[in-house]
Amino acid sequence: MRRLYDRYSDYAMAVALRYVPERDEVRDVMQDSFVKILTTIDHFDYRGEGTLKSWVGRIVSNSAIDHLRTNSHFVFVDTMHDEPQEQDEEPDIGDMPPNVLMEMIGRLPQNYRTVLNLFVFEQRSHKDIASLLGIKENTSSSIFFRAKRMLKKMIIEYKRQQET
Amino acid sequence: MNQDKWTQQLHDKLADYETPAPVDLWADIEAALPAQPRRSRFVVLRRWAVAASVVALLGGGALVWWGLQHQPSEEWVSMAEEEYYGGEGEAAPVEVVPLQEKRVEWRRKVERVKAPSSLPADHADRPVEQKETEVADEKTVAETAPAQEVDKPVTETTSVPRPLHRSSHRSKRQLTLGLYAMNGFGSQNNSNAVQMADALAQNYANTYAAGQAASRQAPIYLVGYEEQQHHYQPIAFGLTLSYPLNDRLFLTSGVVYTRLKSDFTQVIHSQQINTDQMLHYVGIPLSMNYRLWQYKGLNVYLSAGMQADWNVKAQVNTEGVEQEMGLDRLQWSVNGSLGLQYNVLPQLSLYAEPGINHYFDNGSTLQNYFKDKPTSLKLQVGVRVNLQ
Repeated sequence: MRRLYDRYSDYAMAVALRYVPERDEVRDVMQDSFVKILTTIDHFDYRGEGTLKSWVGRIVSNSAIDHLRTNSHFVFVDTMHDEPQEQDEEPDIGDMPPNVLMEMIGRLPQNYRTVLNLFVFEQRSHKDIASLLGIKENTSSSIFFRAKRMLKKMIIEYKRQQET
Repeated sequence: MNQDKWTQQLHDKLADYETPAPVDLWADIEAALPAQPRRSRFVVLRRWAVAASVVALLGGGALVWWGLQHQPSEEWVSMAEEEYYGGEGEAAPVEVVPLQEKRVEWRRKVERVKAPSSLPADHADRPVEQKETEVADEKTVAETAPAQEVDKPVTETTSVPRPLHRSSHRSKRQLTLGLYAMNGFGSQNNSNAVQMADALAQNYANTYAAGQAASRQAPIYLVGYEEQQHHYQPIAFGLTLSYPLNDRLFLTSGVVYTRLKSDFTQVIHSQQINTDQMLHYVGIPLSMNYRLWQYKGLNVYLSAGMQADWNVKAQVNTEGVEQEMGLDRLQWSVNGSLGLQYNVLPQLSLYAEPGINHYFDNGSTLQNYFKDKPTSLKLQVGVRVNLQ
């Protein structure tokens, strides 16, 4: 069991921090996640579509969402206006340090961060996200649009500061 | 879900990112884990020891039982008695006097061989009944005497002595106990590309293959991801009983233990996840053996049969994490082989049966040697002990 933990704990930590950037809270998420992983690994089908690593990632993601839900971090407003479909500037992130990107995601509002994580990294559809979080589908897409715009602005600002 | 290029770039940048976990986190996790009953290795070894003892006891018991039944020093013989009497200068009538079968120890019989040879001539007219009584009183059985041992006049009318007839020459059907070991030929190695799951494939097709009608139909394989399987040769040990239906045909059944081992490796770019799978089966075979040819101690026979195997234990070890798996379904198989048997002793034979097995698909999703190589060659070697 320790070998499994040693192999995937750092990856799991990064996944958990994307949802819960607070260090003291992420510890609870990690503990819950690995207790689930180690007690339910017999249900993991290693010949199935998922790999062990992605299975670990899904459990951490679910644990993080459960943690946020339990601690009432979710505040979603279903009456968000549709954003104008204007084309934002898309900063290149190829040269961005990953830890800086992680820190930026951590600064997003919690609901933005959750939707962005589910859509980008868990590759869930807005329909799935809406069902999971109890919101409307277009609310999910609207939140994602705002989250992405906010993240782009942070990156542009970061690059500007780096240049000066 | 329809991710644009920038979103995909973000995904690729952070999907495999790692951050060091708190150093003391494991202690908390370990404390929070429910106490798990750990099966002692000693217990497992003890079970194997018990199983081995049962097999040894059955085999050893059969040998001892056979030994008690077939001690050479206690071999009893039955025979006919012939007596010779010669007259003076003329051919004496030879009378063959059958006696009731008597059980006499072989060595006693040898001591008495010369007794009739010194009979005086005047005993020639002695009534047969008296001779019988005398022989019976002395508990002596005269056997057919070889010429050098019996000093008597041999005339033209002397009948040829009968050969010694032993009861052990009777043909009889023997129940046979067999102990054997068997394995299959050829380990199996497979390396498979892995098809993208339907849900992901749909998204992939929408995003990257829009407008390419053919790509929506064709399977999409995951890049940099591969699964490898290695199925080792099955190993089996069996205990069987054979019952002769006639002189050539034998019905055989018993109990067989079979072990299947497989390795699975997931290769994700440069990372590997290794999984060992161990399956234990207990089976009941039923087969017919037909003797084709026999010369001295060598027998050649054909065997055909079927077998049902029950999966009694299934274990998997993923990167050091050992756990029980769901059991496989009942596995049926048929087999045929050509057997060679050599009788080392009258009651003990060694045999070898090269042959072929075919395992039917039992419909389970479990991957093992039976599914990967349903038809395979086998070699079975063993010992047979005649019980009667």
